[in-house]
Amino acid sequence: MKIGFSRSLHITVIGILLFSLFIITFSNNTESQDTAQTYNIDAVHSAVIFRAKHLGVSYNYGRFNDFSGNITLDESDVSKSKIELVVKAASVDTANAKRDQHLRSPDFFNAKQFPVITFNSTNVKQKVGQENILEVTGDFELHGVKKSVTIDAEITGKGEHPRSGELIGFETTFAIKRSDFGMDYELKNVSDDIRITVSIEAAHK
Amino acid sequence: MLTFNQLFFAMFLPAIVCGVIFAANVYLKKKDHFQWLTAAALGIGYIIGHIAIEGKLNFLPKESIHWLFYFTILAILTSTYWDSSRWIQLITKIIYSIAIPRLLLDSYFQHIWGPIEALIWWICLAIGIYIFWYIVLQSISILPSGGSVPFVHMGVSFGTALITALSGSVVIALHAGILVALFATIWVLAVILHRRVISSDEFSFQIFANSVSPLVTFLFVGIWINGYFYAEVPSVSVLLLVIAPIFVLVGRVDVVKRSGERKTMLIQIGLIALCVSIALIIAVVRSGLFGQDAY
Repeated sequence: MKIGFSRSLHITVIGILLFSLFIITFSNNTESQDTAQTYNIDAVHSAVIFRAKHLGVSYNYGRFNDFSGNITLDESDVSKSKIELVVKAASVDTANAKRDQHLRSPDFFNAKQFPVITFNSTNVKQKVGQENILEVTGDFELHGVKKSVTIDAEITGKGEHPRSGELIGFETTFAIKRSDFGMDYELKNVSDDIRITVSIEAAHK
Repeated sequence: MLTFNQLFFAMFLPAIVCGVIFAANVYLKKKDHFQWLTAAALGIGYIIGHIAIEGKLNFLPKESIHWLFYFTILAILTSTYWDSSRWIQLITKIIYSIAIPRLLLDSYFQHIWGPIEALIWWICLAIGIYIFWYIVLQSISILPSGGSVPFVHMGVSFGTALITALSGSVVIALHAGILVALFATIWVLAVILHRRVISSDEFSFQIFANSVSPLVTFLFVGIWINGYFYAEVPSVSVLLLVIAPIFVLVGRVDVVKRSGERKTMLIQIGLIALCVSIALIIAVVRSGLFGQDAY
């Protein structure tokens, strides 16, 4: 009987310790979840658009219709934030089917060989003196070439959606030279400088 | 629009280099063991054009079309031992027929096809390449010596260049354009030199020996695979281009044979031209060149 009581006492003590450990672990997780919020990009209310100059005369605009990604925002420590964006190159849309076909071809995006355009942040920091602007450095991969770019991402707003809950909005505009990414066909007719605008609405996971 | 630089470095310069090597080879009056120099003339010409279009190249190639540079080097090396044995030819054909689609279509194998679909495509393409190689060899042996073989290949590459440009990739079309320039050069030189040198009694020189077949096969297959899988060239047009050279086989039909060598050649070339023309018409119709979507 004594041995049985001692064993059950041991089991109780170990149980209390394990429970305490669980509580500590759980409370730490809760704390990190409270500060780092993860959002899914809502493609319906977002846009990835670009512009290129045609024959040095006018700006032509295009968009990508298929993209996805996540944003993790830690407002207490912005450096822990993360932005991931994946754009399907084949979804390029310039409102002209033949031009889109040409853009998908090996002359431009080569969409079958390089099906995705990606951005993965490597460093996020608050822009000095600008509360709503994050300075995001990341790997931008286009046409199979990966380069580090730094962009200013503006937090355009926060709010609530009746169904999906907490929302956050971002917008960034940055410029690249397409020739840096091996897209050097017809540089005289279609500008080397491409301006890209990404406007994101993301819902809390 | 092609610039003068593109035209010069991608077509004229390769043609000049190819022509000089080919003419030197003919004038050297060497026999069979130097037949591979025709492949070298075409291959070096293509390499110059390729670098002019694509610029700096990496190994492993970043884009499928860049493999053609390495295939050309392999084809020149292969041509040097091509006539050594039938077994070596067979093994070479099998290895390349299997390897070429795997290398050119790596992104399809990785991202687009499932395992079974990939295997089916791989087998079909390997068999297709092997058959096309056989057709190229037949065209060399059946067509009369002289300029007819390079003329036929010039026609097929001209059709390929136009069809690819119409279907959406000018870059791939330029690669076919290099071939047009090279085959045209060999054809013109063959016509001129055939009268002066090649047909002389003490000298037997085959302009297009079998050892050129690896190069012709690799380059045509490489451009067609890139055109069909990456640039949306209509499948019917590609098929017609692939089967066009098969019409050289009508030269073996008795009725045609009896009509004489010259008429037989005209029938063969006429049928090939018809095949390429139909392929081109289909590409023009599909391109929407004159439709509302033209831009």
